[in-house]
Amino acid sequence: MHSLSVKKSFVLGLSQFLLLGGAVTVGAQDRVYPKRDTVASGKIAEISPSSVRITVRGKDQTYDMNDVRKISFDGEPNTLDRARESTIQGQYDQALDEVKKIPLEDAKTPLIKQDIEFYRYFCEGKLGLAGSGDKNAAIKGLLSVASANQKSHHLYEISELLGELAMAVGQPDQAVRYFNILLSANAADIKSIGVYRLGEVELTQGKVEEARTRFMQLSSATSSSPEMARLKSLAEVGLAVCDSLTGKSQEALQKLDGMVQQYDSTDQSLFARINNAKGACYAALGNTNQALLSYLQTDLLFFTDAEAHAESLYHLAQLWPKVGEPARAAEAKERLGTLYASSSWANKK
Amino acid sequence: MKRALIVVNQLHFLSSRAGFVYFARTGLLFLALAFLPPACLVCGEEPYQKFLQKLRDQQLFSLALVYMEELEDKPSVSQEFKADLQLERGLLLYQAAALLPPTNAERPRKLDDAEATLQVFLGAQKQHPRRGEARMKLGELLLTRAEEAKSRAGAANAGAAQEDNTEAIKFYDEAHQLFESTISELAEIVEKLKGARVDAADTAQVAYRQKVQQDLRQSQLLSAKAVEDRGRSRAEKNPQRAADLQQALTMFNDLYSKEQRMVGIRNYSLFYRSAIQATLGKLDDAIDGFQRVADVEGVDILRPLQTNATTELIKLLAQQKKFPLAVDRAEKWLSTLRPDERSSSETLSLKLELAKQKIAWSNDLKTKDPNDRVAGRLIRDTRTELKSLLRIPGSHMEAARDLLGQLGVEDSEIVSTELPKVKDFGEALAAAQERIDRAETDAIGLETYKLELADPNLDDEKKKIASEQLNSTQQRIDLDQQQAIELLRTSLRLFQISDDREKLFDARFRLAFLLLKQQKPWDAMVIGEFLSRTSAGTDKGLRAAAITLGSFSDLLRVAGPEAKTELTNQLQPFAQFLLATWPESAEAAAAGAALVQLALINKDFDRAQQVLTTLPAGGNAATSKLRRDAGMAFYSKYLEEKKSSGEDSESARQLRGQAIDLLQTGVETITEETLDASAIEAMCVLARLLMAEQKLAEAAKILFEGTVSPLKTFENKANEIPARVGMDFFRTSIQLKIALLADGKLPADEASSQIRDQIKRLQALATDAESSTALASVFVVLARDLKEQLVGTQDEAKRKRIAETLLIVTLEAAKSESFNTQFWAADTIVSIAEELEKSPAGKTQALSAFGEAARILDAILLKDQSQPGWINPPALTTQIRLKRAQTSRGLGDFKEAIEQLATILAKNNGLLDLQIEAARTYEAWGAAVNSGFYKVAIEGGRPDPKSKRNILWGWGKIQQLTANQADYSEQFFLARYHLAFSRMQYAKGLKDAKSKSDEMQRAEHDITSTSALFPDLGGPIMKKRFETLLNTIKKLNNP
Repeated sequence: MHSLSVKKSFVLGLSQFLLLGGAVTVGAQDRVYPKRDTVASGKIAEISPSSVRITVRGKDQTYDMNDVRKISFDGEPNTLDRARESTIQGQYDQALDEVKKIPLEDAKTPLIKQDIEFYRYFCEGKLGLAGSGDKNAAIKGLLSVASANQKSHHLYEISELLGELAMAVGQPDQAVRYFNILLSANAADIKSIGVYRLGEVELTQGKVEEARTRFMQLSSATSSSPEMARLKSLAEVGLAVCDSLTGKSQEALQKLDGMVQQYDSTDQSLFARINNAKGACYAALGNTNQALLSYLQTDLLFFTDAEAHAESLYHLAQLWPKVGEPARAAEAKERLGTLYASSSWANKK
Repeated sequence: MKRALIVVNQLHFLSSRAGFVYFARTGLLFLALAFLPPACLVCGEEPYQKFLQKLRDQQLFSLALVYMEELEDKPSVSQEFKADLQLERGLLLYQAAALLPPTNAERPRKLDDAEATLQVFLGAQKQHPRRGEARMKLGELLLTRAEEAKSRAGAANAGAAQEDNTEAIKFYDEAHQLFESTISELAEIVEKLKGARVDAADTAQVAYRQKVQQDLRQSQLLSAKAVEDRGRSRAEKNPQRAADLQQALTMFNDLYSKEQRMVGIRNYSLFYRSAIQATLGKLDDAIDGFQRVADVEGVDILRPLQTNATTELIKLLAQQKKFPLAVDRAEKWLSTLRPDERSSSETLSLKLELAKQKIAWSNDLKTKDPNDRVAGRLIRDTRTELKSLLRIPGSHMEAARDLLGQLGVEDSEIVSTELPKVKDFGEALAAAQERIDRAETDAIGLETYKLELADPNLDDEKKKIASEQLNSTQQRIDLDQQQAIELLRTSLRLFQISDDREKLFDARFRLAFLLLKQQKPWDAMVIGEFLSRTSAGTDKGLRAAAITLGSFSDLLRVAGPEAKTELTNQLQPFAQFLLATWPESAEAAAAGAALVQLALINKDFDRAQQVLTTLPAGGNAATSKLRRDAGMAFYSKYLEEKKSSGEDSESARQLRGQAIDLLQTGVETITEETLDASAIEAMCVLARLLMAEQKLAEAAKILFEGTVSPLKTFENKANEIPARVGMDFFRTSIQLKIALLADGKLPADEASSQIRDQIKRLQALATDAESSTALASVFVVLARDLKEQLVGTQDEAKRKRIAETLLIVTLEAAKSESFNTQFWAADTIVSIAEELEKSPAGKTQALSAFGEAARILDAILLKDQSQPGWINPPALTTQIRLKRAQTSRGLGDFKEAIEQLATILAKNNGLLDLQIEAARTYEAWGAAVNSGFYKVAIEGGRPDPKSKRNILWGWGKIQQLTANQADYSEQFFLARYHLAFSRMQYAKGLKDAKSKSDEMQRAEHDITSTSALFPDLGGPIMKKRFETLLNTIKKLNNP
């Protein structure tokens, strides 16, 4: 699942980043980088979770935060933007290395201080979800950033990540609190993420009908943005899981097979979820071989989404002994422990 | 369907397991075009194709087959792919079979399926472009089967076979026929694609033609190879063998002459042709051929073949005593090796052959001059080379060790005591590995010194040298191991996330292993357990578990009771982890066994039972043995309980049931191979327990029926079973026959005959002093057992039947010249008589029996007088006199009985059994003649003329001397009982009412005072007897 707005950029390559990064940090102005527009350089006049207003040559320009790719600040340390960009690229360990090198006392303004701390704990949290970072340290850090900056422009990113981390440490009630914050956003896409996330939490809590309502809400949404289209397809998977959990595994499988035909398999995260859902359906129907094949698709083909990959490894470790392959089960368990040591799947009994 | 055909003259070696086995054995490298794996599996973008390939990569062939079935009905699957499904299924079935070890029962079935599927494909798809591939795979399958047949027959090597391997011949022949039909089919296609018939601009057609031509040649090569191997599978003297080899030679020759472009085909033909020439004794031709293969330059793909050619070449040169040339050729080739070739199987074979030839050369030189310097250098070089070979794991190691053993050992260079400086994980691990390797190599030398020192003909001087060398080698090993430990610890400190995690496991594993070797079991245990838990279910995890168990074992061996408890608590969860993770492993069974044994040592039967329930049902030989051991422990416990509480007590019944359950599951899996001494003992115990439950048919089944029975074992391999175990078996068997007789399941004449036979066989087991002593004990136990059987039989008719049969058997046995048998006969008769006399119906029979026993015992004593030492062991003389006294008592000659006992006790009055017998005799005398003897039974009699003390103690003194002595508690309670009993009987005979009452009260007090001090009164059986007696006394005293 991609995070709210710190997303991988498929547009900017590393070379472009270096070029842009160099240009930005030399200058002495605040900069807003919209997702689909040119960079606005000037003085930030106002910033909130929903929008940013920047004065460019005496004229204010306001951007919805949901449309902003990143913001840099006048006088910030050179390495901060490198860390920011690495984060956008999904290179969290690299970003963390960079941001850790920045002394907090180098922060000349509260916004710069906030960004240093935000990226520090955001990356830690992302790595924690993938199994290598310290989840508890990340939770503590992000909460501290949020409490010190009540109107942080990172509020929704923090909330979403806090929710994910709460789920990873087995605190779904806390997760609900954090994901609920997303529902207060003005942007429909952010709200929808909140709805989807809450549906996921409810599924893990066994509140199938509540989850179904959330996913239905998304699948009937009218927005046609790419983000929304993706959320709708994820919600469809969620609905199939709801069917499976209510004893309609066969119907769920039909839906999921239909999705395999309909969607592009280059969406690794979506296909990982589809296959995991298929695996659960087959397991419920007692078809171990097909369940194994479904989870193996996630493991062997669609393994880039850490959460889904960890889930598939967990189920493979459970299923292999049933077909007389304890060594493969142990191998799956070992990989789960090695790749996603602190994930909830690795620690699930 | 896209098909990627790669240009000819590239060779691809199939690497499937079966292919590998076959080709590794024969040296034949399977040739195929290096066309990519079927294009439909890798070139398409659809996930199902990629996924199928991934499943293949992961060797998940069975799942791939399931997935393929699913794909058949999917509309999204391309028609091209669907057209290939049958072939793909055949290939997958073959791969799934090849993955299984040859011993797996599933393998032949899967191979059959694969063969059938490929045949169906070939039959149905006459024009399919991948027919060649299918045929090749089918051929490979047949060759694999042939090779497996050779392995099974133990004639895998091309040695001089004495008999035809018909199975292998059949498969080679089928393979040959298949390749020949392929050749015909491909030849037709080649004809159609010749020259101008294909447009040079049509690259696909040109590539196809090249592929078909390559397949054709490859089939010709394999056809010839199948003929060659068919010949080599025939007996040396079979004329068809030479004919086959000649035919193959011609085929290879033709191929070599005709094929000028395909360098692979040409050189493989030449190589195999040369191998046949070498077999047929045409050494010069063979040398020429191998040399030409080895001399080809610039064809990388041929290098493994060239290494093999060099190996064969130096073998032949050495046969001609051209040692310098052979060694030079090999060393030159080895000097050109590339890094990836240094550990290949071909290279290792060459190095091994070179070592052999250097040794042969050295020996050749030494026959001319024992001090030849070149010979010395050759030995030194070879020793170093062999040591380095031992550092590479593989099947060559055994041969390398043998050769090294032939060379003997030498003093190694002095090892530096300083640790090397290492910068990173890799360096530390490598330095540690170097020391481990060196220590292992030195350990081989150590063994050689030990053997040398064990030689009784070694003179003192040489012994001193060998001893010094042994010590210094041991020191070097210790130093190397200690340094390796330090380096491994350093490596763990230096480990970075970028280092290989597999190697991290290796480092920890080696560290644990060395720590165990260096007698640091705590440290080794911690690491071993960590590794096994983090690698659960894997082979490497199991290896780590073995180290952990080794550590526990070392610690338990020296632990005191407290530490043992602590270790047991620690072992418990680990053993459960092993049982859950590797339930079939020997390690899990060993851990479970340790826990069970520890629980049994601590008499914690519940815990033992609890652990046993965690063992897998059925299980392997180790877990079966464990169950048997536990069953035996429960049996011992049952015997104790039976003694104290009686056979029918609830506790005894429960323990008996538990012992039976355990032993039954423990003997279920016994096979002819695993039916050893301990298994027979367990089976005998089980039979005895089943007898106690009156399950005679089941007991008989265990002992006598089927091929896996003790009886069968004694018929087939009696010599392999220890005499002690044999005696136990016959003892049990005789008991069972008696029980069957009593139960009317065995006619008396058959029972007599069978028991007589078994007594003879039992007697035959005593072949020396030790076994004679053992036999004496067995006879005593057998007599007791038989008496118990009689005691346990309430039905008078049955009792009579048993007694009569036993008397017949024992009287006949007493005719034996063997002392043991005679004694057993007398002992048994006395026991039977004592039991018989208890019932009015048996009194006459008892008198007759006592008389017979007395006759036998007198004869024994008489013979010992004329033949001193005949009673063996001599200590049994006392027992014989005791028995003789018992017979006198039984016959009513109490005076004689007392006389006999007093004679012995006058010399040693501490013989408790005899003192008890004397007191009993007085009791019997009192009952039969005069109740005054009851008083003597209490107070004792026969005063010693010197000390004035009674030689015969009587119950009063017996109970005094045995009081508060745990070892004699049984005798104490017996004496207390008889004290009261005799007093009561004495009182009954008194005329004076007050004296009578006083005596009765004293008798009552005897019991109540005992009960006050010892409330359990020696166990349920005795307690009941005391209570009955007390009631009787009370009734008599208060009528």
